[in-house]
Amino acid sequence: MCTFFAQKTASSGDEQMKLLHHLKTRWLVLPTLTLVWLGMVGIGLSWMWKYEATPGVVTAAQMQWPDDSQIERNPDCPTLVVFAHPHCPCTRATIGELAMVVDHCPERVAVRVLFFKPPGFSAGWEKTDIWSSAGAIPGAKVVCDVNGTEAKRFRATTSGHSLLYHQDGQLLFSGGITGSRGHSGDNAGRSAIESFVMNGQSNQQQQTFVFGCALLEKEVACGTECQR
Amino acid sequence: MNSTITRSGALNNDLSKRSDDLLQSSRSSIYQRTDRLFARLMVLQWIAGIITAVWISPKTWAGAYSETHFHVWAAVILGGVITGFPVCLALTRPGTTITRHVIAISQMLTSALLIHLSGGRIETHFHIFASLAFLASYRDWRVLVTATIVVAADHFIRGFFNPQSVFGVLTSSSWRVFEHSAWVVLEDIILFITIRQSVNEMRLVAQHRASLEQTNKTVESVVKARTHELEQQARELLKAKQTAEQLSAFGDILDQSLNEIFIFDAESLYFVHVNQGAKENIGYSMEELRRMTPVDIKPTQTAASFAKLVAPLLDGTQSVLEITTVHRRKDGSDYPVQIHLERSVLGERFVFVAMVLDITERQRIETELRVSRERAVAADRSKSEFLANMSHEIRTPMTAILGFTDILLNNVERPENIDAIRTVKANGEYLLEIINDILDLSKIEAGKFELEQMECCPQGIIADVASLMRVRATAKGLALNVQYEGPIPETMQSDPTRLRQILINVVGNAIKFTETGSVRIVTRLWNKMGEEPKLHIDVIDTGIGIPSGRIEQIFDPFTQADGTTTRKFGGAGLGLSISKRLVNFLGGEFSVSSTLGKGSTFSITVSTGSLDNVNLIHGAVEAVANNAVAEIADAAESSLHNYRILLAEDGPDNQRLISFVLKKAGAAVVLADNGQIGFDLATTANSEGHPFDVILMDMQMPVLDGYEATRRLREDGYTLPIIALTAHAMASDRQKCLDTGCDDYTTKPIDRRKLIELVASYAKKAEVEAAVW
Repeated sequence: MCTFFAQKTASSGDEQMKLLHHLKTRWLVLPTLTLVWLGMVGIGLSWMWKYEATPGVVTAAQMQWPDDSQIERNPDCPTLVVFAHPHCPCTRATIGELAMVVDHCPERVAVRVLFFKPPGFSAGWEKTDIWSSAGAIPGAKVVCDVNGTEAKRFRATTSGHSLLYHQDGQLLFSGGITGSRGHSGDNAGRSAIESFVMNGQSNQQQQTFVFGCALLEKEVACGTECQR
Repeated sequence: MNSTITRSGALNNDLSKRSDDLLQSSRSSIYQRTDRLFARLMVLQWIAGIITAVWISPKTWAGAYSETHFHVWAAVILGGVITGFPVCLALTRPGTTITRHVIAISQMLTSALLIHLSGGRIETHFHIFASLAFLASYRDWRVLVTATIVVAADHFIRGFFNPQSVFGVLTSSSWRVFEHSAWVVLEDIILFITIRQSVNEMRLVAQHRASLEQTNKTVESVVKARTHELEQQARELLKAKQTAEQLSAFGDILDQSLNEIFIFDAESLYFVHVNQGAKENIGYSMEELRRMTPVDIKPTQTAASFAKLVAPLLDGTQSVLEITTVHRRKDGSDYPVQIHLERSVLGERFVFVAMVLDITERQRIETELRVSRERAVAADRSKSEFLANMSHEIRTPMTAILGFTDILLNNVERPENIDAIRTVKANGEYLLEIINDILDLSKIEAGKFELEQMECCPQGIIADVASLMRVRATAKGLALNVQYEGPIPETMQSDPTRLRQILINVVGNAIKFTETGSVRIVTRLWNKMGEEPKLHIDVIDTGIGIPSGRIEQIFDPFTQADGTTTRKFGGAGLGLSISKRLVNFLGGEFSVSSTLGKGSTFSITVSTGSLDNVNLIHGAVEAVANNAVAEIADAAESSLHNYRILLAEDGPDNQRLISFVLKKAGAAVVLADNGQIGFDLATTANSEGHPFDVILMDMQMPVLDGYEATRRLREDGYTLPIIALTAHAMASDRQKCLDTGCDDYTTKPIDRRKLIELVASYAKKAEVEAAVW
């Protein structure tokens, strides 16, 4: 009789332990899964942030306006040359910031926007919404830079690369005018340009990172001095 | 009061609990429904995110070369991860707390993803506010807290590391985090208020619903109880109606009945109602009867006597009166009635209800029955007297015939004379058998047959019968064998005389109807567990057999199997009929199986009584019967020497016969012609000191019969043996003789040997007693 009750008690104890274990497992599974899920999402978002904060390849720009350039330099005011890839999504933000510069410095800066077009591509390939947006900026001259000839002359390798030259052809600023990939808003590049244009000088940095797609093929862009 | 308060408290508790349950149920339903809505919304958001990514930034370029943009992969993979887990929870565990909190987190993360995918467009930030508003659909403020924490955390972390990505400026104050969060909190507060109001409304609805349910329940309960009461009342009404209808129908039937019912007032005694049967029989109309009382139709009653008659009903000492009296019709004729009178209530007054039965016809039938019975009793008595007289009248001359035949047999020498006398004797004995059988049958049919129950030896009885019947069998050249199968009881309880009579009848029949072969008597004991033990006797012959259609008829009185006038075998046909009845009296059965031309088997069973403590004889064989009758008779011839015997007998033939037999046995015989002479002679001899050793007293004599003479002798102190001698063979006669004072009893015709033995036994007994005195 005692053995029976002992077995029964033991059996009951085992069942209780199993039930407790089951409940614990059940209580633990969902929070654990939730934490794992949060971790995965966190990793994903951090990758995204990292991508957005990663600038393109930047080379040392021409300190003087290239003589062989076919682009007209304004002798009366600083000329801002922006190299853009017509299909780069990040460049929309650059065009937006460019519009802000023009808006903030009306008729004090000559704007030239050069859209890269690879040779052999169909006509109109470069006429994207970005082209249209750039064309809509008052006073901005939008031209097609077939095969990136002008970009090579100015050593611009990343879409959104903006170069501000003095009336005498001296380079005042080189870099991007967005804070990160595709993100509009205050940034060091735009502030420096506006400061040069408005004040003739700037206490901002004269060179910033450019966030955008590669303007030229990598081997072309990184043939000599590549700087990130 | 306390119980009312307690009940009220219990009701409020129930109501509150039910209200809480309903609210909880409603909230649970909302949670589940909103979970499912979010599941669909989040899938749509995911798809929208992918579309947005593909639309805004489908590819990333390097000169003329392009590849899928990182945003597209982020929209697909990261968006899938953000969406997948909460959607799974919403589908598998809808309504749980963790599900809606995960959904809240996911919704905020989706906002973040969409903002990134849209390039940080300020419009996309409205997704956060829209999501918070949508999350408010849960009516759970905690969900908004979770969502707000995610937003705040996102702003804090990114605002710290990359404020430009959040606030759109290169540098920002740390308060910008709180500023941005404050807008979210503002919306939260508005939503909290809305949620609180909504929950309060839900609570109110739940309370109303609980209250309504309780009201419905109470109403249902009341309706149910009331319905039950109504059904009960309806059933009772229906039952009452049925009873009333039955009573009404019963009343109509009673009113139209030919049995008479009179109802009269208990005080005035005037008739109140009289049914049709009573009116028709009494002859008065109802109008006439209303002016009459029961006294008016009862010629034997006066008002005073009737009042006295019904007084026990009025004072309650009796509930019913049964009266037999006479009613007088309107035409003046009387008829006897039997009245069942009881007190009752009609409407609101006490009445007497008299159920009257006209017993004219019954009295006539009773009278006829009584007369018929008296006639039957008289006829039966006449028959009995006739039988008794016939028995006496036949036996008396037969005594002389058979007795003198015996004497003649001892005195003739010529063979032809001996044959003639033997023929006379055989026919006389046959005639006597017929008389005995008729007497037996008569007694059986009259239900006056009496059996004895005594210990007897079945083996001895069978041996006697076999010994007796073997003479006949041998004379016909037949073998008569006795066999016993298995053990038989040494003794049994039965009537040995009747058993012997049965066996003599059956064996005698078998011998009579068998020409060649044998007759076997096979005996065995049937002693089965749980049944009364019985002795089974088969009498098997190799005779002519019985046609199957005649077997049942052989048991009818005066019937043989061969019923034709040319039959070969004689006999009155009474033997088997009597034997069958006797077997039944002995607790057994009598059956016959037969094959025509081959023989018959007569099977007899008789009850043995209890065989406890009775020895069983194994391997019994036929016992040697005591056939030394002749020797005994011879010895008896001289056994009455020196004895004086008074023979009181009125018949001269029997005087001569019996005195001859007694004298031949050596006795001195004194004759008395009637009872008075016998009484005188016995008294005188006794007084002279020379009394008779035995008195043989005929019971039917002139002047003074044997009964009276014996009674007087005994009354005078006569103690010597008196043996009754009578031609009455009924058992009742024997008892009557013994009751009168006789010591024993013997019937006519006399059996010479038995008579001498009987007289000798009493004479010697008296002699011994005298010597002792």
